[in-house]
Amino acid sequence: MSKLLDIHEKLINKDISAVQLAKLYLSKAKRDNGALGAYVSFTEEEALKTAKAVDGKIARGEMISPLAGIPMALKDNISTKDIKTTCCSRILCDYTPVYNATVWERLINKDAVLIGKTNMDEFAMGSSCESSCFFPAKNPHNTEHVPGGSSGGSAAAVAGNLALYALGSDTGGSVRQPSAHCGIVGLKPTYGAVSRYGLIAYASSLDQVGVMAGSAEDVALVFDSIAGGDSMDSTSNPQYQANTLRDLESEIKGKKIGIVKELSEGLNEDVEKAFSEAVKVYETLGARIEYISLPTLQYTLPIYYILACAEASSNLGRYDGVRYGFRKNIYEDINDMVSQTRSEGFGDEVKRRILMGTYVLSKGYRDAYYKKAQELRLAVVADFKRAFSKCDVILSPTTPATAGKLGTQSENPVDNYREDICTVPVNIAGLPSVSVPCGFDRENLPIGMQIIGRSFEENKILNFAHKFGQVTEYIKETDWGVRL
Amino acid sequence: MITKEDVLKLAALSKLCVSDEEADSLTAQLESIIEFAREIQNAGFETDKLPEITHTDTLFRKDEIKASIPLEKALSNAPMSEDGFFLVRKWSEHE
Repeated sequence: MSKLLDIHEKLINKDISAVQLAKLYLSKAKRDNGALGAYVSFTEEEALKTAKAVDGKIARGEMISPLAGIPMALKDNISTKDIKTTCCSRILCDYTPVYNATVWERLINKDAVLIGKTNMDEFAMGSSCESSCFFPAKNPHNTEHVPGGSSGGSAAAVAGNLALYALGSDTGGSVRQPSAHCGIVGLKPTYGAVSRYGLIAYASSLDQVGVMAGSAEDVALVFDSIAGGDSMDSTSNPQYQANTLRDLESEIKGKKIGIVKELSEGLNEDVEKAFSEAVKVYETLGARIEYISLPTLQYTLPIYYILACAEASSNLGRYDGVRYGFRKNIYEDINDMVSQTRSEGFGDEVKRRILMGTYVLSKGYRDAYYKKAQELRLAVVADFKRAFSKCDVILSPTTPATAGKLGTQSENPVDNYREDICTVPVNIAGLPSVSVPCGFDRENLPIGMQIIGRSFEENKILNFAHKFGQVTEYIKETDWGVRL
Repeated sequence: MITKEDVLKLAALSKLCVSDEEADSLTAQLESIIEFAREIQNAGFETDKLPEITHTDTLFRKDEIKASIPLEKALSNAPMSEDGFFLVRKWSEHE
């Protein structure tokens, strides 16, 4: 089941060297990137340097981490020292961080081999990967379709066998939705389980770094390596120590799964069918099903878009063309310089969210929108708490429909926002959730379901994901990239 | 209802230049987003004695001096810099 552990074995047994592996992934990634658009930059020098060091350790008989020498990718909003990090925005297209994000620093310590930085919706605002300032990413299962977003490049890299795992970020579903659309496993951890230091901010009370890979076991292996408190992020939990691998094989017989009425409505026919089949699989594994209702969930989309836009309008205030990033050089005065820089540097969706955020925070509207949304956020948290007194995990489809065709996003932004109905409640409540492949639609596009857990119970949701993966065959290799 | 004037005012507050044509389409788009956001006005949930979202109270750490980013590095991404400062064109007439 675990590709990472298989390759680790091959490296230890010297069936393949880390340098050979890195070269193989780099060459296939470069070959297929024209079709998939998964990467926006490659880090060949960095990859080969680390791979060579790993081969040295193996030759000397030193112990190596299971992640050592494994080719992987990072979403381009995760800061990498001396390697461009653009957020796929014109305003940051020449930005090179001077420090590493904590998650990347932790993987460097495990000798991870970075193949490149992956494509995304600009500033992680979007769900199709089409708002990247470079080019859109495509779905490896059918390149006429989107891979989802915003971590669409990371999902395409993993599903297209151009990396063995990738990190993404999830503010309202940006790890889970592309994982569902591309037929891979994607974990959005509890708020505070993983450091956000060095993750370029979009909406700070909702953002989390997540893991995407080909199985729950591989996700668990990577998650355990990046999770835990960090003095550079005061919202990370200093007490939390992840050990999800230990509990992967736990028995789920007798455990209770909650099916939420509000997340099971308005689904596409194929998604509905695949989801009911998945529920039956859990029943045969001995789990008990409870049907529950969380009435506050009907308001989670507006709550999310009010809070996320408000936080984005504040977070993106830093892009003024003075300290870093793009600057428009023809201007009348300083005010004009900042305004022209931001107008040319940001794309349409980013501008819309900044304007919406400014609106809900302005005098006269703040109480009606921002304050009310904050109060309702607490009601959503309470609703989930009540639900978890009746069940161990909650199961729902990850998305109401499968991946749409490229270029078919609605002109009306609200139609697109409504697609996030199943994923945003999890971010609002700060809970962990993992998306797992659970079927294919009539066009052979992957369908995903998510398993939501109590705070800091990543071990439980990954256990449920692993058990499902063991008895089903919904993770299918695509024809792209490296076939080991 | 949000008006074109409101959109232009929001753009000025957000430091964004919006052309007349852009303002028209943004007015329609923002109106539809705001109408969608207005759905929360109907929500009447009891919000007393609700739980905290985060796992812990605000964390404090010792106020210790740690190594910072060297000046040269901190300026390395600036569009323009001079003598250890970020550089922008003079905009004030006061000496």
